[in-house]
Amino acid sequence: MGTGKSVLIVDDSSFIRNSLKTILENAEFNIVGFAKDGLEAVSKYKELKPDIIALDVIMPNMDGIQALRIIKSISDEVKIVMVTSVSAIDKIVESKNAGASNYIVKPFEEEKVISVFSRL
Amino acid sequence: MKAEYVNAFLEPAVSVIKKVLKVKVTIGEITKAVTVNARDAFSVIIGLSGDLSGVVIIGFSMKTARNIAAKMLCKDKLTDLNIDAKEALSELVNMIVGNATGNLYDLGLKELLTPPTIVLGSKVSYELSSSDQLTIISIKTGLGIVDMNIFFKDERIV
Repeated sequence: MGTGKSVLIVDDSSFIRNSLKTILENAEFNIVGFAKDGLEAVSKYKELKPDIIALDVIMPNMDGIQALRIIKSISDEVKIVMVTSVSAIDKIVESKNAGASNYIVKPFEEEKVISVFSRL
Repeated sequence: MKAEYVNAFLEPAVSVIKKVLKVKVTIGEITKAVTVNARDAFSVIIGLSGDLSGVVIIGFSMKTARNIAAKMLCKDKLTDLNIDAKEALSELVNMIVGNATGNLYDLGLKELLTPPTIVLGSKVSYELSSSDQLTIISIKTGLGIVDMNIFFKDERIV
């Protein structure tokens, strides 16, 4: 499934960070780091250069869509999946237009997360 | 407050609680009020700004908070609300309100949300600066009662 692809998990909730870590590690992804807000996500991206980023939208300091734009301006290679509770279609379109590969709405099913990440 | 706005929050409250906690959920009393129900010892607040501005405050008794957090963290029982428990409850509220933005968008309303803020203690008073009424929805779950306080004003009405 994951075949060792590296993943950075960005969410201000430790509950979600831990849930995603468990799901993705069981699917053979390599979790290389965590960030709690958009600013930290940009910094961790530069440091760790992961293959994939799981990125929340509503976070303190810098939101996920701002972080998405900055990270994609650094490298278009990285795959970014928005993982958020915000289900409004305008946010999904905005994320897609800013370069997100996919969008998962919380609460998520384990199968959905694995399916989306495995296709990247 | 329009019933369709209340439903925009009610529907995800029921569906998220059912999906995350896998318990039976029923809607209890829906009441209009002028002050937030302060009986709850653990509350999570999320602010809305956009076409509607205000707050959603979801409150739990300490026992219900422990029951729900334990279920989310796959623990048999919690004797105290540690940081993991607080974050789990905070995320539950975040999921409810975040999912409500989709319903609001379908009603033509664009909203921005703040990250959740946790309030501990029942001796808290909330000053709501609008003539709009507060709606309190009591949600009965197999793990205890969850109070959803919804307060906002429609910024499109001058």
